[in-house]
Formats: sequence, C-alpha cells, structure tokens
Amino acid sequence: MTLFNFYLFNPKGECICYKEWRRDNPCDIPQEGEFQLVFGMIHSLRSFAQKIVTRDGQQQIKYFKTSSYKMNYMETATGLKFVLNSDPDAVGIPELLREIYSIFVATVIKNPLVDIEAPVASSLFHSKVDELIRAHQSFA
Amino acid sequence: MSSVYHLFIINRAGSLIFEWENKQDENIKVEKTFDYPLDVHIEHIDNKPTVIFGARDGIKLRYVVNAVNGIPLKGCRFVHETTGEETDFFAFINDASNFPLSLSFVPSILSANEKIIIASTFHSLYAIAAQVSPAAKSSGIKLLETTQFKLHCFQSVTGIKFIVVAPVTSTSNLDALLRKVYELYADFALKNPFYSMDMPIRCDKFDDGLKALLEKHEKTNVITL
Repeated sequence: MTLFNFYLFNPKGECICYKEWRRDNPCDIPQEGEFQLVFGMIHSLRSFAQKIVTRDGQQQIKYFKTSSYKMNYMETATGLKFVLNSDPDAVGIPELLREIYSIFVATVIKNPLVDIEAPVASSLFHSKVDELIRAHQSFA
Repeated sequence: MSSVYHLFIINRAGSLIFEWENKQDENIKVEKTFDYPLDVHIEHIDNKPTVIFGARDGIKLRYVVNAVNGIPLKGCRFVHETTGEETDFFAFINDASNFPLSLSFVPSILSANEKIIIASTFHSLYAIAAQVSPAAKSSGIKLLETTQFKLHCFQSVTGIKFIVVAPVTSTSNLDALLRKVYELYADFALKNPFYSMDMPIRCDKFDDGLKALLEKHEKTNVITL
C-alpha cells in the first residue's frame, strides 16, 4: 500500500505544489509539461463527467482507478484541485485530502503576506504535509 | 432509478461504434410560470439555454429550456406566436412586457454528435492516464467514480473498449456485464462475415441480445435506496 505522488493546482491551472514519495515510472517529458498534462487530463475529465450524466446538477469526480494506481481527486469551491496518486487498494484517502486542504488553509491562505496563486514556499506546509502522509496508514 | 445509464463500444482508433442509452427518464419535464424578473439564471451553453443557478421546484441544475409558452425552442430561437417571426430566447426573457410566461424544462440530452465526441475524449483520457502513471506499467482508466455515476471500462486484448455508465449506488458487478457484452460482440459482430472491423455495429441480433442481457441485469440488481 503506497502513496505515489501529489499535485496541487491553483484555479488558473498552475501546479503550486508537487510532492513525490515513490515513483516507479520515470516521466520522459520535462516536469512542467507533466504538470500541464495532468491538469489538462483533470480538466477534460471534469467536462466529460458533466456531459455524460446531467440528471442532477452538481457532481464531483472522486477518483479513477487503473490496473496499477488510483488517482484521488478533490476540488474546493474556490477552484483548488488536489490530486493524490495511491495504489488501487488504498483506503482513507478522501479524508487525507481534506486534511491536506486544512493544512493548506492554515499555513498558506491565512498568511496575509503570501500570494496564494504562487508556488507554495511555506516550509511549514511542506513539512506538515510530509509528516501527515508518512503517518498515514496507506503509506508503506 | 435504473441500473445502467449508458453503454458505449469504442473501436481501436477511438471512434464510437455502438451506443445504448437508457430511455426511462426521457419523460421528465417541468413546466412553470414565471414573473419578471426571472429568479432562475439561464445561460447560453452548447447552443441551448441551460439553468446555471436557482434550481428549485423540480428544476435542477443543467436542465435545458425546451419550450416557451408552449412553443418549442430550436436551439436558442423560437417562433413568436403573434408576430410569427423567429425571436431570440434571451432577448425575449429580458423584456418585462413578455411576462408572465411559462417555461418548460427538461434534463439535457446528448445528441448523437456529442456522444461521438465524448467517446473520443474518453479514448484519449484512457491513454493519458496510462502515460502519467507513477506506477510501472499501468493500464488506462478502468473505473471512474463521481458523486453521481460510476463508469467501468474494459479494454479487450484487441483494443476495443466497452464502457458502461451506471448510478453510483449500483452494487452490481459491472465488470461481469462488460465481459458478457464482449461475448455478444464476438458472437454477433465479429463472426458476421459481412461486418468489417472498426465499423459501427448494425446487427439486430446484437441489439436483441444486448437488450435481453440488460433486462436480466436490471432484474437481478434491484437497487435499494
């Protein structure tokens, strides 16, 4: 049971935080390109999901699974997008994403001197999130 | 509440070769009389007036206006009853002298073109998911779950994708259903000597077999709310 990596996108679509704990498949495109690819995929998935079933208004993508990983997704009302890749059988990830969001709010949003659209420079945020992930049950 | 919303079959190149939709909810229609100003916010999305805010009384988000005072809408225009000329919907509702009026809302339905587009979109997303995988050797998207539906995808070794969209509360074994659809495809499409690979499937026996399979699936999977 592992957690692979984590992306945090601001409402403009830029990746403001990327964390990696385990990556077995090295990416062959530059990292900036990979962020744009992941964001583009999320954006297309959202509009795809909205078109396919329009029975009841709002809906949120929860996750998608492939044969070797599960991409968990959380979006806030302000347009922040949290993406966490875990192994397919991981449990307790939605709560984990919500905890990361509350750490983000406490360390970045509540700081009046920080530009919330810029890449996260707060070392407190990085250390707290690392600590949270390593203590999580799904982390091996 | 039905057990399967949609079923798609996508060929190796990514185009849609078969599509089935559950027509049970086709008759949902809400009609209401409104006074100026309109409290339901409607915007021009995909050439249709769509509700974006103010859902109430059975009118839900993303419902589409399909008639004004009983006159059906074509896109965003309709034929005015007294003047007989084509009027723009948004110009009409912004004019206070036209109120009170009655609007009829229906859930938005996918046109055939839109289905082809979303099938191709999914085909690409499937490939991208395999590419951005942090784990070694990943397949594409097998299961996508949102708060309203779950989508299962089975890709055969020959590259044909079978996709089923079902309500999120469904507990049935959708992967088994996809395998049975694959069997039907192999029996009625592939074994047909007049069928060419990667072309749309037009076969009565396939349609009948699929209908029987879905009915059986619905009977054995009663959803308890």
